[in-house]
Amino acid sequence: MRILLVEDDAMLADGLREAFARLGYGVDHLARAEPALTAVALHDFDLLLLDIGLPDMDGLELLRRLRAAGHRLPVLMLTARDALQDRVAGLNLGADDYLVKPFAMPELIARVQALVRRSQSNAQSVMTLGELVMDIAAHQATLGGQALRLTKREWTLLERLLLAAPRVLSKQKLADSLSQWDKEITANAVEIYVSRLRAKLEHGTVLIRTVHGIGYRLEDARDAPAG
Amino acid sequence: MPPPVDSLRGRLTRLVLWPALLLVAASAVADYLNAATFARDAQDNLLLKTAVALATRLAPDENDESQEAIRQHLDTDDEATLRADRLDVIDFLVLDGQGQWLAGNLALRPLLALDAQAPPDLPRQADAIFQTQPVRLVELRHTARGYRNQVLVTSTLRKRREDTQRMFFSSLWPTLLLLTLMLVLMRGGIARALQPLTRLGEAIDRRAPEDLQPIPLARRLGEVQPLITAVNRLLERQRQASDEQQLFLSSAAHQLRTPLAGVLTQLEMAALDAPPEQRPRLHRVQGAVRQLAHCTQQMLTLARASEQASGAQHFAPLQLPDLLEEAASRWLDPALARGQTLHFEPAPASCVGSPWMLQEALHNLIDNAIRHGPPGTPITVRCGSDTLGAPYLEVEDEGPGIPMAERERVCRPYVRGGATTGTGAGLGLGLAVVAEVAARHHGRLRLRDRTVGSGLRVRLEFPAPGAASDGKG
Repeated sequence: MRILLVEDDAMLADGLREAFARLGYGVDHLARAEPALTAVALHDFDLLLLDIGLPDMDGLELLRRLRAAGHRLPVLMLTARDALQDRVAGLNLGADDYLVKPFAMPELIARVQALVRRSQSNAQSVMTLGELVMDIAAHQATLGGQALRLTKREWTLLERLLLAAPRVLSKQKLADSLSQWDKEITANAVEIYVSRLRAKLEHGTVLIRTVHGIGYRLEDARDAPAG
Repeated sequence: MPPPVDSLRGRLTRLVLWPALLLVAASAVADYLNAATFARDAQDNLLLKTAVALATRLAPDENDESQEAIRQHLDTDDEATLRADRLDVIDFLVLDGQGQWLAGNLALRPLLALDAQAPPDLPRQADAIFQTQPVRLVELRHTARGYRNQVLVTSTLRKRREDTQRMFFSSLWPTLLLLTLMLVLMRGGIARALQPLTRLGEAIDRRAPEDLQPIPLARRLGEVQPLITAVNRLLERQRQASDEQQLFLSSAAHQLRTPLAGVLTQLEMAALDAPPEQRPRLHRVQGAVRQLAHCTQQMLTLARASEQASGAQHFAPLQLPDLLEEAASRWLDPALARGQTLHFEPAPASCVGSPWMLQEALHNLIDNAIRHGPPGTPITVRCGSDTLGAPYLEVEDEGPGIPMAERERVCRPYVRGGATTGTGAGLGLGLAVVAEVAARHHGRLRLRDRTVGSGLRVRLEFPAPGAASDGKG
């Protein structure tokens, strides 16, 4: 896993580099935007962590040029500005996610992992969360190395939850994605499929958490949330 | 709208009305005097004619006609004809040169005043009182064939007064009519003339609060232009202030947040490597820096939501359940970290608002609930519409609540001895942020106790859809 970090604040950059290094991620750091264009063209990065306020070029401009040049790598914007327009502009220009400074390290890591997981589902069609591995192309899922036997709906449900993690996915959105095949699935029916899926995930560390009134979230029980 | 204390229209009307009334009054006085003179002259003429006629009649027809014969010139019928008048009492007295009675009423004699040496046929005209009645008199001396006589004719003043009045009123009515007509036309004219001012006011009123563009000067009246120019200068200053505030805020945000992010990241790394005896100290520092980051965020939100900076706010229709869904992802882990469960009760509701402000408001409410709710307790986040159709966001915790006396205070930012200092018990600026956001949305913040057990229920109420426009401005 290789991350390109474009951030002009040295202390933050050092901290991030160290934090990701501990997780086994390689981080290349650039303090300016201009060289980043070349770097992305020359190397294969899994993710770009991009600060919006850079000294030589606006991060949004760099993002626009990267996307215009056809680079598809996932981009997580770090912004110290909270103007909503900036965030929307970033997302419109092709950023995949944004995080407002200052952030908690675990949240950044979770977002990075989610982005990488999603981009892998496109590129390599393999997504992982803890012990759970889903190979989309081969249509195979394993939990701690053990094959999971899933129905079509259970598969869709798990795929959606895995793609969304660590976000909470609303029951309605789950129902909508399950309804693709045949007749409408109600939000209540989703509960039934979730409970079946839970039964199959029982032996692993991955669990589906109910968020009352909203929906569900897939999480790795070993990532105990830190205060 | 309060009743206008003074209106341009009223002022103009008053300023023109009083002088006009004064003019009319002066003209009426002149008219009256004119009419009176005119009527008096007319009466004098008539009396003089009568006097001349009497004098001629009672002169000798031939030389040395006897006094008695002369008296016969005027018989009773003639006298009756002379005295006959519709309105006035006409009376007369004719004496000869020696003061001997010839005809008429001798009671009139005291009124005679003409000098014996006065030239003949030059009449004396005067006002007098006869038997308590004001009268007009004409006195004349006449000479024919060497025979002199003296004539006095009097008449009461009724006809003269009537004539005066008729003439006076016949000239007064048109003047009054003219004045009334002029006032009516003027009022209409003023209203029309002032229309550009009214339209200008409406145009300014219709503007969106964030619209600080100058008012176009084209096709405005010359008199209104200085006003527009002044308003535009004010708008320009306001726009500059708003721009500066925005610039300051985004600069402050950047200058504060990036180092904070750096410090936090470094502290987390340091805590991982620190020897066990150092860790508590590092955790305390970490907690303090997090609090600092939290406060920074709240203060920036407050400043950005403030009225001065709200020039750039964009309001859009939004679904309140979407805010809850977004908040679920954001707050699930912080709540789990304190062993609390988040319950959401989203009911369909929508409002027009600023998405980022409402997000910040909801975040502050949930953040407060997580901070003050004891571990193991639930936190409930609701949205919906009340019985009047007014949408709301609500967060309920099972914490200690806020004493009644403190409630108003905690909703105000930067109050001396208030939420930011001392015994505010770490409430921070959270509720002040929410109160500010509520104000920007013409809504209000309500703090209540939970219905059962201890706990706080905070509700951000928006105006009902129908009332939304009334709350403006």
